[in-house]
Amino acid sequence: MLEESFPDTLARARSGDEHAFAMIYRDVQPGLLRYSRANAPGHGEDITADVWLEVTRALRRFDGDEQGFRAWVFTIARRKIIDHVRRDARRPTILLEDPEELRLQEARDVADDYEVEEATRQALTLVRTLPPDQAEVILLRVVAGLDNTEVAGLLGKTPGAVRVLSHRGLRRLATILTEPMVAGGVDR
Amino acid sequence: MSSDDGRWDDGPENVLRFPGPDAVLPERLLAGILCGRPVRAGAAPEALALAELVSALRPSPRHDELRGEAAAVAAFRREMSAKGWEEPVRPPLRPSVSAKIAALALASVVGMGGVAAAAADGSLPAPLQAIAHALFGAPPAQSDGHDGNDDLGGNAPFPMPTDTATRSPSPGEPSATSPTPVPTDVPTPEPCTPELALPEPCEVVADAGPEPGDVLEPGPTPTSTPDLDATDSDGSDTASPTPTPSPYASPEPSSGPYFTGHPTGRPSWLPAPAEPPGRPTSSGRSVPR
Repeated sequence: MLEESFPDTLARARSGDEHAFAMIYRDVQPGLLRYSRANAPGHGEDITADVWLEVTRALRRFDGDEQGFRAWVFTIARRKIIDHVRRDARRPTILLEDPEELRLQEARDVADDYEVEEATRQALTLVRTLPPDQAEVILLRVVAGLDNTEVAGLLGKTPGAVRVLSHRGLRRLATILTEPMVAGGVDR
Repeated sequence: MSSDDGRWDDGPENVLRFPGPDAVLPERLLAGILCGRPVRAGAAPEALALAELVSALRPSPRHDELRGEAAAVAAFRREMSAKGWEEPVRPPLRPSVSAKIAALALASVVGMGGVAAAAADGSLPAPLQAIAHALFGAPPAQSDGHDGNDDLGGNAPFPMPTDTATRSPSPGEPSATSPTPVPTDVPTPEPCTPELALPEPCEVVADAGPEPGDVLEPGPTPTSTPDLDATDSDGSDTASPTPTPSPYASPEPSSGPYFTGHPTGRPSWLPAPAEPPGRPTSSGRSVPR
């Protein structure tokens, strides 16, 4: 988090300072990439690239603090992910027509997964097992660093509903984490 | 304990039979874990495992996650160079441009209105007045000095109405508005210059009848104080809305084919009297010397 330096950094980025833009990118990109990978496995890099392209186009129109900026960026990412999921749902057979492309895509996914730190990869895998609304709330709270109110605004829910969803998801994760320990561990 | 129905933490019977996640993971602890607060070492294993998982989810920038930075910065650079960043200052310019246009329009209206008023009044310089006369029938231009109002610019088509009672100079001193206020200095009228002669205003003045200045002039029948009183008492001459020439604002003889002398001057065909019959007073009456 840039915190106190964010307003000045944002102002310099809006005036065309590449270094300031790179600082914002380094601060937001890791969480953005994890959020995108968790919701669209194998397409995280493409989705974040589209998100940053849109951010650069609309950056001069943005006016707000750091939390507002993060909420804005993750709102764009969420829309891109929804578009990606819909697009994939409309053309599920395309990959089957090109087995070579399918193999290349799988290889890229595996490479991406191995590039992610093992603990993070396992955590993201566990979160993916949650119901979608709980997983999304937890990712936005933890990965994006947004609070209940910002997540509620992003998802169109009340802050109370966001709090309930996040707590239910965490309890379910706790249960998943403790059951394998009793059973002798998990192989993920 | 079933964790798939999502309601295992809702019923009190679950809490009684099992430790239950609510007891192990109260909401305060969950809120702290979500915010990244550390969990003490003696906490429940579920809380410790959950805190570790959330900690693993938290973004700690790694090199592989930032490999798209060069492409993003390049896109940022392209966007900068393509659009430029001057657009945000465009909205503040709009009021300024509008204000300039409004000011220009106002200045045009005021300026043109003033010129039009001056043209209608005949106060424009002679060349401009002639143009205005040709364009929209404004009063024609006057030659300098023929109307006896040089102190007002000399371009008024008609002499300005004056009050003889208030403008009478004190005896023996010249009027401030007339270089030749002494009635004995009757200017010799000169004929109008043909191209500058404008008979209409001269006719009006000539037909205006007895003027207040007549009391100062040596008329054909001089020294008639009762007549002067009658003229003043009539009041129509001094208070008439018809413009009348001031007897003290006639520095030069008028010109024109029909007006051979200044209203306050003596006609050229009249013999010059040896001495004026009187002098002006503040009341407008002639006082015999």
